[in-house]
Amino acid sequence: MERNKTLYKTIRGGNIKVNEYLIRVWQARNLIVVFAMRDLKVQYAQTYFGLLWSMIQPLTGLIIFTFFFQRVIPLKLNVPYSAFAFTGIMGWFYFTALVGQAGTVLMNNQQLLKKIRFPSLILPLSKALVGLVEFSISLVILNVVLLANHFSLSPKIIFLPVAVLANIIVGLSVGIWLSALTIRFRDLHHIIPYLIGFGIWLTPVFYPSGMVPENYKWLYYFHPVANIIAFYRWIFIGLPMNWPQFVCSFAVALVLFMTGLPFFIRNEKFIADYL
Amino acid sequence: MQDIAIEVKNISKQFVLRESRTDSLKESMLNLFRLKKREVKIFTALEDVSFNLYKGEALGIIGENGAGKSTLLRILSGISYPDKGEVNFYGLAVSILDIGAGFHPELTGRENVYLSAAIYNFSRQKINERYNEIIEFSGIGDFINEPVKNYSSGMFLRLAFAIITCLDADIFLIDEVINVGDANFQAKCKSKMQDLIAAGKTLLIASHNLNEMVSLCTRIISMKTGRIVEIGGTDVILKYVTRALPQHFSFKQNEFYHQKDLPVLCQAVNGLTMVNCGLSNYSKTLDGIDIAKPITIFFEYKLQVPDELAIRLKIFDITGVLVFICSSISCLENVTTTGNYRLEFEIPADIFNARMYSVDFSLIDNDNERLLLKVDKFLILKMVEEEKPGERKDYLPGIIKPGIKATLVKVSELQ
Repeated sequence: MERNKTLYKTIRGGNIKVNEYLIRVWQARNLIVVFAMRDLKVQYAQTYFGLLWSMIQPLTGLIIFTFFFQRVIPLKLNVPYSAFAFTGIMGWFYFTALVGQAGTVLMNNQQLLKKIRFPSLILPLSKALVGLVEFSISLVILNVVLLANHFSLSPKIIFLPVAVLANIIVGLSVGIWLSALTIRFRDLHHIIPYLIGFGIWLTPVFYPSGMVPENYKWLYYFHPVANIIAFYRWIFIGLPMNWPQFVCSFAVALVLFMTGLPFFIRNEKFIADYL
Repeated sequence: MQDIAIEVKNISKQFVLRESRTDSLKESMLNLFRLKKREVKIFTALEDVSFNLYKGEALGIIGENGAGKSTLLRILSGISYPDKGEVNFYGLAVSILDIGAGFHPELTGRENVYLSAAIYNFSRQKINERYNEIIEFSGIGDFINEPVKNYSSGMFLRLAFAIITCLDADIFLIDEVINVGDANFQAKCKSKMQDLIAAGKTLLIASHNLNEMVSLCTRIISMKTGRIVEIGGTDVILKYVTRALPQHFSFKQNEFYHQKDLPVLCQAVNGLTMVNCGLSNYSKTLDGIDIAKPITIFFEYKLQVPDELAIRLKIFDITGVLVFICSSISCLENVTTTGNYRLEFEIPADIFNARMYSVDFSLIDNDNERLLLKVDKFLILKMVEEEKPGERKDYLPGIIKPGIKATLVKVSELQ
């Protein structure tokens, strides 16, 4: 009668092991794509312009900033403002998409999380993929803007994947913390939009970081998004790049990420109970 | 010794109740400064639950709402985590806690099939193989390319269920799925589960539908307030249905029925004052009222105004199914003057099955068919079947057990 005595798996009380969890995420990796596809389909289903809508947001940003800071309060820059602003918008929007979406994704998929078992980390990761699709669309706009301003592509473009990856990690580091925390503290659900709204003023998206008074500049060592935007500007419009500042700020994001991940995983235990 | 499919060892689970939970930032901040920590209210959902699920068996879990059935299934599904204890799986388990949980209303039926399949972790190839089968089983035809939000609820259920039937695993954990949808759909679910049992799969089913459980399961776990009361054959259900009671309720010594104080509840309603009511002429056994003897339910009341007042009783079984109604409307022509009246309902022998029944009382004005007073569960009866010597006592499904006479005679010899 010793047919099948192999232990398939064990569920135990106590904490979830990070490495085991990451293996489960890896095994379920195609779910990331599936959820991303679902979100893209749902977001643009039954809309006439479909995916084109994702262009509208960065484009309106570009038009408003360009009008305001060229016509109303002209900023003196040695690069064309539209190209400057759009590189900022691109990075900032991807970051905010990750924070905003990843922060609320668990709440928005409660029904699923309570009924079917899958590693919930899949959900914020799928949001990163959705954001990447929208980011790619804004790259098309960027190309048009660069061409209109007579920029030519520099070989530095090979660093773009690095910049994008850094962008994702920075966004997820905040997003993962927030999504795990919103389950326990629902208030964050309401705070996130404000954080994003204020954040743009603290980030050199539409103004150059050089305009910030000298004695505040050290803060950029702890502001990863500002440095990722600088990275994009270095790649596309040839602005100088402060590498030590980038590395330092990215290290901050990495610490956030490496602490956020175990926190998120530990929280998975409570998700079904708290939702 | 049978092979074990799932081994559940000493599972416990507690929840911190919402009112004492620090859900908001405000509460957490306040807690930091509180000298006297607030008392944390804890609800024990499961306490020291252990059992084995053997390969190829269908094990049913019964219990009232809040007994911990769903919590247990959620833990076994890996959705919720136990505080203490351990569960060992000797085979691939899949859980069906809800059907259509992975569906998104905006997507079409076809897209949802692939989405659900992915969430349940099938390969795309497998779903491609079974795709036509799913569409056929669901029977929704051309609607497959319509968004699911435009489906009727029946279509939604059929498609969702069709996907689930394609799940391939050794062990199936099923929670109440069979109790949704129309009768046709439930029959489909049931036959699917019978197919699984026939195919040698292992099933763990939680349900309130006791009759369903009897026909599907070979063993039953009865749970109450987070603990296992009993594990055994289907006779566990028998004990459950004769024990499971509404809360705040107890039998009088050796009475086996419980009765609300109707004379207090029914005072001078439209000129009717209840004086006395209850059971008369019934036959007690050691642990209940005998189903093989008639029962009389009587009411004695004063009528100050000779109105057309009718008393109606609705008899429900423990699962909430209406069994029958009796009413005094037919004798109202005898009521022409004020006075003291006695009404008797004689329920013949061999109607009830061995289980719990509850009786709702209502007082109706027959002139305008207005409901004057309604007392839910005014009476609760514990019916039992007296054990006859040499006969095995077993739970017989069915909400009634009428005295059906079976005769078998030999008509002639074989040619």
